[in-house]
Amino acid sequence: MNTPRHFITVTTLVFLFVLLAGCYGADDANPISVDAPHTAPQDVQFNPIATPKAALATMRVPPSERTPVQQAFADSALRAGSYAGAATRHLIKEAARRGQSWQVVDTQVRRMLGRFRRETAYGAEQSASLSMLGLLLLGGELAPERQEAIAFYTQLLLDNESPAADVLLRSLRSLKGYWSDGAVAQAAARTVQHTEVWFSREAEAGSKAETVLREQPNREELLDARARRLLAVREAVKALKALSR
Amino acid sequence: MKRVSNGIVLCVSLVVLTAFTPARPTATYGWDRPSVSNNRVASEAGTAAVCLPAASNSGAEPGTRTRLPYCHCSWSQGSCSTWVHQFAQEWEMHINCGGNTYEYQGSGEWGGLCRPGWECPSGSGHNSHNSGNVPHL
Repeated sequence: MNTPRHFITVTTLVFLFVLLAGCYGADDANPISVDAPHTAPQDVQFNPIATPKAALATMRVPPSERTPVQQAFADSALRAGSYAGAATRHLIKEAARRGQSWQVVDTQVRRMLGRFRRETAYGAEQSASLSMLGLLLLGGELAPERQEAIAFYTQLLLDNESPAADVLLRSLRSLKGYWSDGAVAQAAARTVQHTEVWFSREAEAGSKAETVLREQPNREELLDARARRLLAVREAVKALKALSR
Repeated sequence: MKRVSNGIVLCVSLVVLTAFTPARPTATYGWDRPSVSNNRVASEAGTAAVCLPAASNSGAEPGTRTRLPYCHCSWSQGSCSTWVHQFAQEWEMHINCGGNTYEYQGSGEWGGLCRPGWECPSGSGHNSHNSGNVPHL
């Protein structure tokens, strides 16, 4: 009778062993691969982000002259912008992978944006809006529900004085019939104005940014991405001027 | 005797079980088991970047949660402030000079930001900072 008992005991322990091994293995199954490829950055994208009037007084103070409170504000704004853009793109990719609708991402992104501190959210709102419009909303079938979402992110860009004229041009064209002709024309005029303000600072700010960029390991891609995007922005301004009349 | 025999079998089995159970990986996923002080922001330049855990994600704004882990580095140079975030599969860089912000994004890895030995640019020495330790990837 000893043999069956031993058999049961050993079988039970082997079962436990397999179970434990399986659990440890399952722990590695992270939905996001953290073992990023050791390759040089590719497909570099550039977005021009505006600092709206309310935050300009702080952000224009050189970092070396900022008070700790001003520095914390600047850090928070830049960090939020960086985080929100990446988080939005991640949500879009995950939704595509899982076969979820754009409405799911839209809900999540709006909820995320609602959690940022209002005064430092301008970068986050622009980054997330540009990702939502450029990667998800523009180009699809223009049902009223989608137009509502396009209008929401377009309004965020307008409120934050965004100079992303190329994306805004596509958005405003998509909103014809949803917004009145007057509202579209007014938004186009505001975008032209915001873009001109951004470019008026570009002579000074752009050259300083280039100094930083030239010290980065992927400087050629960074400079090239910026040049390409600003060319597209300038082209879009021409079309927006016509739309604003 | 039967009890003794059963006890011996049980002990031997437990020893075998302990010896051959695969060890829980500790070094592969530096993101979710970071070294100490991973959330600390150091004030000095030249320290290594940090990989923040997905769970706490302290670099994000309060109340926001995501499974995106990252390393980050920020520094100032002249009148420009720069942030670089390394996420799992992409990076983001924000440079603010005056009123204009330049947002860059790309896939892959930002030049070794999360690798041991990488140092934040020291810039002009003002407000250059970085965080904590780098877990081994």
